[in-house]
Amino acid sequence: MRSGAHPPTPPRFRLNILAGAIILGLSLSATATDAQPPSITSSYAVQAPQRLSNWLHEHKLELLDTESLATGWSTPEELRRQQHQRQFDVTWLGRRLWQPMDSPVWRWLANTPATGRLPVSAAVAPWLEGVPVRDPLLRVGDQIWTSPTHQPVRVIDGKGRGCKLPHRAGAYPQDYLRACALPSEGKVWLVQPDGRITQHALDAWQPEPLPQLAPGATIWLGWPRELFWLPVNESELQDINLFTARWLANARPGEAPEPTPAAETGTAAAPVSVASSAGLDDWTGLQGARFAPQPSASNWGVMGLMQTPTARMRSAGNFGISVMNTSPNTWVNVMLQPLDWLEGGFRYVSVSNRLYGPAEFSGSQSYKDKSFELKARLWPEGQWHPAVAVGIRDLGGTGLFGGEYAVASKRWGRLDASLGLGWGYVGNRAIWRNPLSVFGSAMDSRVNETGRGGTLSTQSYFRGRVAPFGGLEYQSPWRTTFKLEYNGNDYRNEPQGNNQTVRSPLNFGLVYHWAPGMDLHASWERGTTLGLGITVWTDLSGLSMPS
Amino acid sequence: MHWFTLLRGRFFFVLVPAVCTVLLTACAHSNISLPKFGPAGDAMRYVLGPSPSPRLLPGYEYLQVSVHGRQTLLVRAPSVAATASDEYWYSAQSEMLQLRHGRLWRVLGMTTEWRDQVSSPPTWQQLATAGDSVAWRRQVNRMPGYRWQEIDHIQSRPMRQAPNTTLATQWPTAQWFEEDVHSLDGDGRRWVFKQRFAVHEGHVVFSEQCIAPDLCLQLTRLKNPS
Repeated sequence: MRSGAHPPTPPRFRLNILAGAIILGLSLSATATDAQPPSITSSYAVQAPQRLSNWLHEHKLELLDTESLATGWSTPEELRRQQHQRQFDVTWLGRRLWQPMDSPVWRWLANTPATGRLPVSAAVAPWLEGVPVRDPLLRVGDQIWTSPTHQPVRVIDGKGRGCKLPHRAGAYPQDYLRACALPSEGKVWLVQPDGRITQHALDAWQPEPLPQLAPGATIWLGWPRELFWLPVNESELQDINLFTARWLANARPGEAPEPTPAAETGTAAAPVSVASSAGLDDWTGLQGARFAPQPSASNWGVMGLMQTPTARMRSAGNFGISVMNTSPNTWVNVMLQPLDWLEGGFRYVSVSNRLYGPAEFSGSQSYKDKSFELKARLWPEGQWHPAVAVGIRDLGGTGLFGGEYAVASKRWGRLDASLGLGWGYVGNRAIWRNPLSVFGSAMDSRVNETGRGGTLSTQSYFRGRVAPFGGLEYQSPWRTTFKLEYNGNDYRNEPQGNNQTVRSPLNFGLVYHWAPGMDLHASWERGTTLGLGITVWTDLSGLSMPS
Repeated sequence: MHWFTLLRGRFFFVLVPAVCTVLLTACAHSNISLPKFGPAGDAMRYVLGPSPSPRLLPGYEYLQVSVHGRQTLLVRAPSVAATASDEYWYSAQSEMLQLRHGRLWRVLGMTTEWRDQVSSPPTWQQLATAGDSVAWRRQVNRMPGYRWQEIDHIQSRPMRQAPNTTLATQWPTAQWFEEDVHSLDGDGRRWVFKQRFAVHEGHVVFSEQCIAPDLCLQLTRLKNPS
């Protein structure tokens, strides 16, 4: 097996190009040396102009034992376009591979002609009849091909390693990879028999709901970097993998490249076993994750635990309103996610045991404080490093609850851990000296500005003593997220002398994801107080206005 | 006259629209004949869509579908594939229900689709005479998520008495059946639900059936307007 340890020496480069050109030339002159497997597809030439639904009706007897999802339609125009594109892709890829002839997938790309396949919504005649815009017009010269049912699922990478497995109902990509003795990590491209391609990450730190695989689907594992003599960046590799997946999607079922068992394992594929939906894997989410992380709001509206933020954010375009109560405070938060890395909004905090003003002026009205908050993600999470965010609470407000924070979050399956450092109200426990005091002793002292608000308290930001905060969040399979938090505030230095009894620095909470866009919150905070809340949120980026 | 003088002149602004008109008209009169849409496509024009008081057109059969309290009408189209047991019902929103003996067989165009099904359910007559519940299973290809060959386990039985609803009074002579369906949701978790059918003169006139946990339908066959 060749590895990436070989330096790209010029003589080798020239040989490489020469060999690639010879192979390509041979393939383009239709003198392929690779023996192609016998085709299992049936091809039909369209004899008269007609709608696809009509064609399907006319050939219903031939279609009895075929998989409608794999029905292909090709036109001469699309075939010419694909042939041109294929030639370009094969040459481009061949110039970047160490030994293109050693890669069965490159050989397959070079030797197998393009098909000219076009997408079909659903090859179900009665539905196409009723939806004429989805019912393509076939012309003389077009081709339709069909494939038998119960086709195997292929797993293959750029070296041709992988296996061919019988389709198993209820099995997810990880189940096939496990049966193939291949690791369930990194990126994969799922090529379904209808030609649809989706890219997924299988890592435990970025779970996402995955589709299953229809019979005849292919799991494309990508081109290993070690096959390239020319350095390819992430974007180029993404393009190469995507066009390879596209050619796999356009292939007729019987003409896809044949995978060979990985040399490292040396074993044939095991039977595909379906991980139970109620098994340990589903509880931990470390293997075969099928869920999307659902960050939830803290009492302060930004994504977080109860009192403390995390580095998590919703996707850009989200808008949420939350109302939270943990005596004596009630928060009404309006939060926006204008960018993937920026979260911000404003809130009113009502302090129930303090008056708004003199009784003759505002009666028994409770004290209200308005504040703005901004949280920016400095870098997103990776396989080995956490996502990191910084934020300023009570930006431009009275500074009553003013605080700043830097927080990191790392996910392992369903468990999400956060650890942060808080200044001001967020770190009121004031355990440690400010690490930023290395920039000057001015960072040691903090002025809590409690004026009328409306100005930026730049003299206070990230100043004064700090305290750590953090916690764990477990997103269960039962629409409920459990939270455990260590609060950086000990409530012994509350504004307006409103100190609170604290029996525990740990807060516990749960969020019930009641409906899409609606979360119910309950918590036990300070060891003494019950907290309740509700968040309503929507993704504004999904809305559209007819123009 | 130099060519750019022509472009700047009034002549240009008359000539260009005239040429365009002639060319476009020529296209409009070209004798390219496109194959016509099937009978289902014709019938789609008579689907009225959601309306508080729909106007039913004579000669067409309608199925009232209620989902989460919202109602819409589907029209039965004489698809080429239609048989005595298979009915094809279409909505104005490109949705199609294929019912076989009144049971959902294929569903396309909705948020959850049943692309195909393999099953041999007992007939209503068999169920009526069986006296006890009959167990059977169906294999369904579901979208989204390429959930192919999922197996539902179903127990069907006649109901001893009609449910206590206004529906029962609408078809006083109908025979009622119910089914317990053990299925899987989109996350592969077990999901159990009940289905009900009212069979009148061999036809299902009302049913409650589920396509997905969030997509349970009430299907009511409307009397054919004369």
